Amino acid sequence: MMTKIKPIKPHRKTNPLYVAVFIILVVYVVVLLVPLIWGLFISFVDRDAYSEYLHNPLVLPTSYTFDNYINGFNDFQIKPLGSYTNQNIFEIVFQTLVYSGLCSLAATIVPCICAYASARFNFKFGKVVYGIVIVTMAIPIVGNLPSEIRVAQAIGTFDNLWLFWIMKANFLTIYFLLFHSIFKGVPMAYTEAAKIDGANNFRIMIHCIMPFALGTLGIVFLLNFINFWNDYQIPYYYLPSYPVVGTAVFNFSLHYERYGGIPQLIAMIFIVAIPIIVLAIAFNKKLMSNLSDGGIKE
Amino acid sequence: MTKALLGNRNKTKSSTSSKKDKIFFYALIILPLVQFLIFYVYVNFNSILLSFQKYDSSSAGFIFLTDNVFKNYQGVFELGNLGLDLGKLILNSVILWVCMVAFGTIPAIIFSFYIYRKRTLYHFFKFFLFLPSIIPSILLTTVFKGFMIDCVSNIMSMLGTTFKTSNGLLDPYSDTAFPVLLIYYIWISFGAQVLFYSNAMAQTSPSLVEASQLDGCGEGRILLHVVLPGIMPTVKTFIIASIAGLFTNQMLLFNFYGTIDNAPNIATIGYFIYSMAAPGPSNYDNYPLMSAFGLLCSIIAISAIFVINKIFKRFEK
Repeated sequence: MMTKIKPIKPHRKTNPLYVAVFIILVVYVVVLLVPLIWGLFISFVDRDAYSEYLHNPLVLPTSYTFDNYINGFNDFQIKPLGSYTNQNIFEIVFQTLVYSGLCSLAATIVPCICAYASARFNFKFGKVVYGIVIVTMAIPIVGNLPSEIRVAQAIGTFDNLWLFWIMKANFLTIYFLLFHSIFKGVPMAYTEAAKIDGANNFRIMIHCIMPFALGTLGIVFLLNFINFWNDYQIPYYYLPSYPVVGTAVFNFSLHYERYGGIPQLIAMIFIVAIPIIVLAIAFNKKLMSNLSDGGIKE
Repeated sequence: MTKALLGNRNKTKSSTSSKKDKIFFYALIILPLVQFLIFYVYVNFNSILLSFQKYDSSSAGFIFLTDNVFKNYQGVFELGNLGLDLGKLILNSVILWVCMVAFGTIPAIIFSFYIYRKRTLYHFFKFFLFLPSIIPSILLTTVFKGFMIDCVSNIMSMLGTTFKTSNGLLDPYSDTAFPVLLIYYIWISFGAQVLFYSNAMAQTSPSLVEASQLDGCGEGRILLHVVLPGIMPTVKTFIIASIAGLFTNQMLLFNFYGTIDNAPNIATIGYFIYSMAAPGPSNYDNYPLMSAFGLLCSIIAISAIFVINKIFKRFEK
């Protein structure tokens, strides 16, 4: 019978630098978590108990209720610009899924395709595309929001849930560079061998080269999806008739007294934040290993 | 003869293949290129034009200024007409940028080194450093706002501190709001930097670190003399990229206060531009002014990038 031998961990001296960093990091986690835990507690407190708590904030309320979540779910309604009827949580979540889904797809696939073209074909224009990305990332453009809004209005992507993704279908992102390095790393012999076997360019791209970037594509899509789901500033301006969860929550936070006060407002935010937090925790290991140990990689 | 024929055939084959490659290449990039031409080139060109225009409510469109072409650029220096102080806007933005670079970058490098060296609970800390990037910022700010006003400020009131309004520490007209929000913003934003730096550190050759350990280097010296030089290009990129943030960073003020009328004293340039660019005829009057302001900021940012790049190059020499 084989016995598994545990590797002996090398003895590491306690270093004052690491002790200090450890303490600061513990403080970081505590400071980050305390308001969140406080918020979670408060989201279960009813309005009257919360008023009492405000008189003595050193003592947490003792009675808790699930009503804020039930009322928050029912009150999760918003009247979009130019509409006479409210949209309920299901409509808002649907709009958020469409907005986040289409925009993340566009913001993932377009840099990937352009990076593929630039990295796998030896054309001068491919290098121009690469140069455009580097230059636009290095040059900061400030204050073009009014112009962008005007152009979006003229083109028809403004306040258009199904076409808004076009504005996000650009390759001027860091993900272009990421995909470019992946595709550049795949030996050209794969392409040549596939060509000898009679495969056309499309088949080579889909069946031979893309599988190398599949994992990264998934991670980039997930990161984009989380970003778009959490974002409210862009849809707040560009999609006034299609409120997404972010814009709805932002509106509630401006008029929280109408929505059962702070406890119910926090409950409403938790309702829409939980799916994305669960998603992120579910893919936590993948996100972490791909993002921090040597960059996003296969 | 046969050789010549074969050579010709190969040539034709390779030129057909090259033609097919070219068609496929352009088919892949044509639509993104059109998108780039519209939403980058034209948008920015239009932004320049907009800075020389004014909104004409009768035609519901923008027309070029004729009497004073630089009226919008003059308007940038007369923000007092909008109830704002340009000096304060710049000062707040500069304070934010300096604090982000000084108090964000250095701790981020040290924490990244801790994660890179896989010290106690590094996985746990890595998760929590990444957490603010996952949690919706509106959740973080709402909970923090509630916690600071209803809990911390209330406790401080009980202990004898007096606040002018019920917003306590976060009253936008008090002296406390800006520092509190600044610290909070730095606190929740350096996690992303940590991930980038630890990613860059992972590229350091382990043999280099081992060799320096054998030579008797302590952890501090390994960080300063082995790891830090390797990640300097990443640090440089971060600092250069942060210059744009000088004019675009909102410090989450829109989350906390909504439009700029609610918090003019603590506003940053990024918050000001975003807040004034809200779509709708009532704000179209601001668009040319915002474009002129943005253009001036872009010129300053681009110049600053060149200067900082030169400084870095001099240090590298």
